[in-house]
Amino acid sequence: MQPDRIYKILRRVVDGTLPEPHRETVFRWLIHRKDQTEKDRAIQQIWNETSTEADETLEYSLQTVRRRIQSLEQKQPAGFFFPSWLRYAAMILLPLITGLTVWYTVESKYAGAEMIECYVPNGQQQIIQLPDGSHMRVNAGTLVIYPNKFTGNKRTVYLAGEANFSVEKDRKKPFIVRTGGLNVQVLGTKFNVESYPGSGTVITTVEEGSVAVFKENDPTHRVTLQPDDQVIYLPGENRFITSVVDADDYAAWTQGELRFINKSLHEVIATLERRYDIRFRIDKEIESSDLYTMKFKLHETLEDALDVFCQIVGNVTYRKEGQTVRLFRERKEVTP
Amino acid sequence: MKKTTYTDEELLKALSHDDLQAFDRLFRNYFPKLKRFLAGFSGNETMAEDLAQDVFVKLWQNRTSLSHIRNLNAYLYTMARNALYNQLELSYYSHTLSEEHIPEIPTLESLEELLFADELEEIIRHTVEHMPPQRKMIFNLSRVEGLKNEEIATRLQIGKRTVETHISAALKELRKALAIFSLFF
Repeated sequence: MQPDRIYKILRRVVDGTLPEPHRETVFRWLIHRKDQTEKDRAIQQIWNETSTEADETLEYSLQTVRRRIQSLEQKQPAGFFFPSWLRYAAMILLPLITGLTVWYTVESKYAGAEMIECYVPNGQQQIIQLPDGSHMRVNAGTLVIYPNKFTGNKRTVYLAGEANFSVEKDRKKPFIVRTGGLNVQVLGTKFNVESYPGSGTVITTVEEGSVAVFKENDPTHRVTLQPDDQVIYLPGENRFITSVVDADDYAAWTQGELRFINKSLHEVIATLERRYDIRFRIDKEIESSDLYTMKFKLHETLEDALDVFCQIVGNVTYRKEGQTVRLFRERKEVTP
Repeated sequence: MKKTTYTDEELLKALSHDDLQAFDRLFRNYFPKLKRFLAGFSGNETMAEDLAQDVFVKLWQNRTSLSHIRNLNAYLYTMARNALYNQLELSYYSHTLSEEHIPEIPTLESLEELLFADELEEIIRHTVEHMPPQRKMIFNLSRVEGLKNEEIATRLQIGKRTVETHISAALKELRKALAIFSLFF
């Protein structure tokens, strides 16, 4: 029976017991038209015998596919949660921003302390000292709000954007970052929180110490992270996804480096816009569901970063016009 | 969703209405098999991961036209097979076109001979490897180094009859191993 002989050969390919030069020979034979029906039958038998057993990478694969789908759809995720007084403050604050670092003091009912708002605009980064000796490095396009004194039994900071925290130990006063409806609670440690409004995610990565992440309205249900752990919270779906990463990749921005790990086209562009204080205009043909991993060297110039980026995406080129960068499909010149 | 298990048809119907939970379930049910299938043929797990992901992205993109599918397993097989063939043709077909001399397409028989020869060699090697030390040494001196029986006897300081006995026993072991092998090939 022909298919049976074919099946035997394919079985050996799939089981990995075939040395390399023979594999190529088998594949050249396989794609040839002759006996294609029998070949197909044998391949189908292999398919039927393939196990459906999942391994530990399944959830990560699912997450990656979901993000690819999301970047295709360009859906606006469910609303970003601001506590109401903060939303009111933000509405007053934002129209007044002129591109300089702006400091505001806002009176509040917050236990006798005054709240300080700091917006770090696009194109800048800022280190901010906190009243207990902790400090945070704040990335471009980020709003932070914190009190001038940590009274009470907690140290609370509000974040809309990205910051890297180095927190002083204080067992009696847990340090809490509130962002996107989530609380990130620590005693003393070093960690990164990325939570840009409109991104649809809150990404917490731990470098040192231990961190607990839980929803504003559900503190008993918490995820605890150790160094190199990362949890991504999707407010739109009310879901946590944990994974293990190299935490340095997610703190690299504090050293002036630019790193992307499995980021969609839009995420890369949003980060470049904030980092270099420019606007992108993307031609529709460029849209892609691919995810990109790229690491740029220290203090990369915009032009160099764009050159590399266009190379990696492929068939894309850019033109800078003042503060705007246009990305469009590269048309190869045909020389007669 | 309140049930714990759903049929493929129910999931596809929900999927056509943009139900992401249905997508997740379909993914968890079929992705491992898809990836494993592609990895087995390509030998490259990263590529298999990417190709398998592509299939599910396409599934999502076509979700509104999927509710008519009666056999999802067969549908995914077709997509997997196409992905596989596309990849293989990319690797192996374009090479042939660019060369002046197009290598012959192997036949099923020539492939079997190739594989048979390989397995044969392996059986022989394995059998020799597991022979008692002196027999193994004598066999290798005879067949690999090509020494005559007298030369072996002199080299090892043993009688010529001993050498002959060992070679005879070695060949008997090999014939037996090959007989067993030919039952299964």
